[in-house]
This record gives sequence, structure tokens and C-alpha cells, in this order.
Amino acid sequence: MDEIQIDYEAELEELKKEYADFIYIVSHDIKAPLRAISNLTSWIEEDLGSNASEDVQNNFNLLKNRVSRLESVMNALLEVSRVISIEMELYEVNLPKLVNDSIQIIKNHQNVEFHLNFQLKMESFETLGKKLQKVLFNLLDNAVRFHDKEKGNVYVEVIEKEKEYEIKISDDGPGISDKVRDKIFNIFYTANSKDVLETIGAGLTISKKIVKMVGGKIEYFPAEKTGSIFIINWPKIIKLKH
Amino acid sequence: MKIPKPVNERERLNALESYSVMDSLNEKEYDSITQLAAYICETPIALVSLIDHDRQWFKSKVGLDVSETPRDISFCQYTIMNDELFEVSNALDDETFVNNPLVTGNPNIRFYAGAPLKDGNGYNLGSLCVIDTKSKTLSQEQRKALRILGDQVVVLLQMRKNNFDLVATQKEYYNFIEYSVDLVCIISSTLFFLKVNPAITRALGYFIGELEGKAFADYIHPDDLEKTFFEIDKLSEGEISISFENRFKCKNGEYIILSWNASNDFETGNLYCIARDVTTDKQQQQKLITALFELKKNNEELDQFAYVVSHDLKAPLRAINNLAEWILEDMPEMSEEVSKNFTILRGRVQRMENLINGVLDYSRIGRTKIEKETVDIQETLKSVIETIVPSTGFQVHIDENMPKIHIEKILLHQIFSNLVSNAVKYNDKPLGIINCGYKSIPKFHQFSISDNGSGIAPQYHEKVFGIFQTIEARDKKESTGIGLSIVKKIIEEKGGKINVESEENKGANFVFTIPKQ
Repeated sequence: MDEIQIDYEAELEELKKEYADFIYIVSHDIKAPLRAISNLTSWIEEDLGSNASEDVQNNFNLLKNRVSRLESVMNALLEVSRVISIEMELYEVNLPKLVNDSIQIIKNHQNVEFHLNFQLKMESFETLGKKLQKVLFNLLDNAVRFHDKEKGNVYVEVIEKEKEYEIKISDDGPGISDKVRDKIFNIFYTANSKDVLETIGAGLTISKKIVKMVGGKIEYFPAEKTGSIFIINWPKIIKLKH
Repeated sequence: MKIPKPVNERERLNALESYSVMDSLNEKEYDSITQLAAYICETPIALVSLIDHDRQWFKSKVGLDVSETPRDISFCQYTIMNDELFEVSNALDDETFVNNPLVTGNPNIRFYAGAPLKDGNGYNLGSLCVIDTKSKTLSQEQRKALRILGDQVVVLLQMRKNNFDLVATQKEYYNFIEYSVDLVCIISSTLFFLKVNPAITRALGYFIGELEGKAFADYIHPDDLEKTFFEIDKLSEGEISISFENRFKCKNGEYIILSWNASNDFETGNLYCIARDVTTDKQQQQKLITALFELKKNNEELDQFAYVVSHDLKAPLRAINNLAEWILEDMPEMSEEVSKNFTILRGRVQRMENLINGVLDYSRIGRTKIEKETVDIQETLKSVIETIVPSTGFQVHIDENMPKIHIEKILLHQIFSNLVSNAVKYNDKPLGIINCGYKSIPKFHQFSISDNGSGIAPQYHEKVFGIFQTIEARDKKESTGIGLSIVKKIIEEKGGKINVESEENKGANFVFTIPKQ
């Protein structure tokens, strides 16, 4: 049994390495031709000037859009590949401040009202601050970005438990249909067509990867009426393997 | 003086030894018999004498102070020679004893009567004897009584031996349970611990006293109670329990997994149980299951990931390519500068797509199941060469002895096309020469693809098989550099090896092996 065990573990290791290699290759080696494509596009744009017909202009704008989408995809891949390698500093964060900071950097949140509720004994604790902020930002940004009402509400509730913080981020937006609920954490999955709403679909993937790395949990629940609830369990003490 | 010895003397001594009675303490059961014998036979002395190798030793004595005398002067050595009562009325009239120091001196024996102590196996261990300093004769009743009392001594000796055997057996059983590495316990029909062995206390951390008399169920994990009771019901119906598992609470509050073998004693309703701690095994098993699950999940994840990435990267690439084409069509009067840039743009798009496809190929190998078939290598090579090698400027030779192999055709095709296309791509001579060789070596097919091209410097021999390694700048040749890493991966997954023999400017020879079945 031990031997089989070792076999499986070795195979698993190899697979993980292959996975990492794959992301690395895609995100690094493909970057060079992409940069060339991007540069060429801006040179062509300069040379074309305003001489081009409307048709050509439209097509060229579409082409530019696809180039920038490619770049976004590449950047997202790069970010996924770097989840466990960069911004790994442990430092003391103040949770209410972290939530507020994350809200501040969200674009176009004027139509959304935030309701914050903290039940904390200790407001500050030492953790991977950049990572926690990334997760908070991704979830809050999604709640705002996909909101479909004129006036939306986003609720943030942070409850201190014995060994972890339970962070609940909910909204009264459109929610996620049952059919696609299993896919939302998959990379590049977007519920809407990418032409309808310009988004890459990596935020939840990255968030899940971060939460998994710190030994926590992230789960989606449908809200009672309409909207989404994400519950994150973020451990107070993070044990990193290396 | 001749000393009489029974014919079975050696066995007789062994038998005596087996009673473990020699030199033991006084016991009143024996003393009562000697007192009774002296009383009945009206003699001052009565003895239970056991005949050892060279002495007689008195298990019980009346009217005598010594505890033993040498065998060779004893009267009793004669008693054990027969199964009858041995009687000497007057030693002075008996030439055997007339000069015996026990007759001529203290205790001045005149009369002797001894009943042999004959054990169940027929060995005369000694005698019950009565002695007087005056000559006399026993009445028939007295003789009979002496014999009966002698038999009683034998009964006592036999009891002693039985008792000894019993204790030894008990000790053996006791040790067996006491020293058992397995957990052994007896559970009453009312489900209390009656007995537990030290292994249990070692495994669970309780003292024996903390378990015995306590309810068995108090220590079972609440979630396992139902199945445990069900198992006990089965036991009471006469079934036996084999490898029944439940979680058992240790003193430190943790639970360990025990695997039980148990049976039921119908008479008392007691359960006789042996258990073993299988927590580590279970954890190992669980780990294995988890590892397998993880592996499967990761496999699927990687496949899915590869698919999504390729889709999300390739879709915009195709769009860019199409849009560029349309723009070119719409602007025939485009300046040379712009037109050139569009051409380069489309070249980069093409390269990027090649790269993505290459990465996909690389990650898919080893997971997709491909059917095996019998592949004629000669045919495969011909078709590879037809599609890859330009019709002019190259001369190709294929060995006649190419085998037929049962293998996934596509994999071999991939190997040969990568190697041949490299041979073509990196050829810098006016006439490129490519040789496809075959050699059958023990257990392996050995193939070689050699060329007369630019060759590879020794320091790159390992590197060429790494992913995305091309020796020349990528702009010079539209090569993804992923080919040789795929080739290596396929060959190694098949159980073969590949290496390259080459020097700079002297061509390269790629040699690889594929196991024969």
C-alpha cells in the first residue's frame, strides 16, 4: 500500500508541476509575440491616422479590442501563476480599514450603497494582507460590476470566530443561476458573453486559489430573494508550506 | 553391599521429579496420615519416605528427627522393589539388615513395614512405612490400613501435581493475554468490561481499573453506537464478528479506530473480544483515496484549464487575424509601411497560435487514451518524409529492416515528424542527407534519425529536450521549440530513452528506443 501511495503522490506532484509549467509557459513565453502584436497594432494605428474609411476604422477598433482582451487574459494568467509566489508578506491589518480601502478602489460604485457590520474582538491581526485585500476587492468588485439595479446594496459582515474570520459579502444583484453555479470559480468563466460585459473571469479563480492557499474556504450561496452571498472563512493563523 | 534398583529407575526418578515435592515444606495432610499410620500400627515411628537417586527424603515423619538418610542404608529401597507390603519382623533375624547402621545404632530399628507409594503410571515413588524398636508383626487389619493410607498419600501427591499443572496452565493463559499485543477483553452480557489486558491500557491510556466494571458503550464514538449494538446483537445470535470497526475513545479524548474480532459465550453471555488499533492503516487508506481523488480532480482541472485557456487565447487571435485580413482587403492602396506591419502582425499571430497548440499537445500527452495498432514503421516513415521533406535538395535513406510494432500510431508519427522536420529545418548544406536507421537490441527497438546539418554543440545536448528551447533566435526559424520536449515525453512515457549524438557543424544523430512489448 505504501508503494501505491508513493506512486500516487509522485504522480500528483508531477501533475501539479505540469500545471504550474503550463501556466508559466502560457503566461511567459507567449508574452513575447503578444507584446509584438500589441506594438504593431499601435504602429499601424499611428500610420493609418484618419485616412482610413469608417469600415476599416471599425474593424481596426475591434482588432484593438481583441488585442487588449488577449493582454487581459495573459495578465490574469500571470496573476494566477503568481498567487503563491508574490506579495507573500505577513503584516498586521485592520479589518474594517481593509474593507474600506477595498471599497475605495472599486470603480463606479456610486450607485451602490455599502452596509458594513463588524463583530470583532480584535480589529487587527497579522495575515497576508495583500492577499486578503485582493479577495475582498474581487468579491466587492464583482458585486458592484454585475449589479443590475439602479440603486444596489452590498453587505459586508465580518464575524470573528475562535480560529478564523467569517467574511460574508452579499448583494441584491441578479445572483447566479443554478445552472452555472458550479462553474463560477473556473478560470475565464463569465456568466455573460464577454462582448456584453468586458470582463476576464479570473477574479473568483484567483480568490479561490488564495483562500485555498491560506487554508480557508470560499463558498457561494444564493440569497433568499435575489442576489449572491459569498462566505469566506479566513484562518487567523496561516501556515505556509515553504 | 548390593543396592537394589527398580528396572525403570530412570523413569521412576523423572516421575518423582514431576511431583515437585522433594524438599518441600511440611503439610498437615501428609502429617495426619503418618500420625494415623503410627496410631493404627501401634508403632512409635511412621514416615512418608520418597526415594531419590541417592537418598530417602521424608515428606512427613512421626517419631524421627532426621529429614533424610542415605538411600543405601534405607529399608524403603526394598519396599519400592515390589508392589506388595514389605515387612521385616525382626531386623536382627534378617541377614540383609542385621548389620544396618540404623539397626545396630540409632534409631535401633527392629520392626519395619512399608507400603509402596505407587502412582497412576505404576512408578513406586517411595513408601509409607511404620517402624518400631521392638520386633513385632502387623495384624491383617493393620496391614490393610497401612496400604489404604499409602494410597491416600499417592492421592495427595497426585492432587499436588494436578494443582501444579493447573497453575502452570493458568499462568500460560494469563501470560498469553497479559503479553498480547492485541487488545483483549471480556465484556459481560450487560455490556460492562469484565476483564481487559494491559495492551488495552497501553493503546487507550486508561488504567485497567478505569475500564473494568465500566459500561462498554461509554467509550464508543456516538456515531458508531448504532452499528456496534447491531454487531453485538449478531453476536448474541451466534454469529462471530470479524474485523468489525468502530471508533473508541482514549483517555486523552481522542478516538482511535479499532478492528474487532469477537465471539459470544452462550453459557454466560460474555463476549470474548480481540481488537487491534487500525487508525494508522485507516489514515493511510484515507490518504490514498484522497490522493487518488486529488489526482483525478487535478487531471480534470488541467484538461479543463488547458481547454479554457486555449479557447480564450485562440478566439481573440483568430479575430485579430480575420480583422487584419479584412482591413487589408478594404485598403488595397495601403502604404508599404502599414502593409509590412500587417504582415508581421499576422506572422506573430500565427506564431502565438503555434505556441498555444504546442503547449496543448505537451499537456495532453499521457492522458488521452489512444488505441494501439500494428504499425509498419517503413510506411510511417515514408508518409512522414513525403509530407515534410522538400522534394529537392534532400536525400533520404530508410533502412530496409524497419520493424512492425504494436503501438499508438499517432505517437510514433509525432516522434518521427518532429525529428525529421528538425533534420530538415536545421540543414544548412546544399544537399541535405537524412538517414533513418534501425537496430534490434535486447528488449528494445532502437531507431536513429541522423542528418548532415549544423549539428548541436555538446553543451546543448541536454537542453534541446527542454520545453521552448531553440538554439537559434526564434525569428530566424518559425519554430516553437516545443517539439523535442514532446518527443522526449512520449518516448519516456513509453518506457524508452532518447539522446543526441552530435558536434557542431557535423550533423546530429538522434537515437531513441522503444521497448519490445
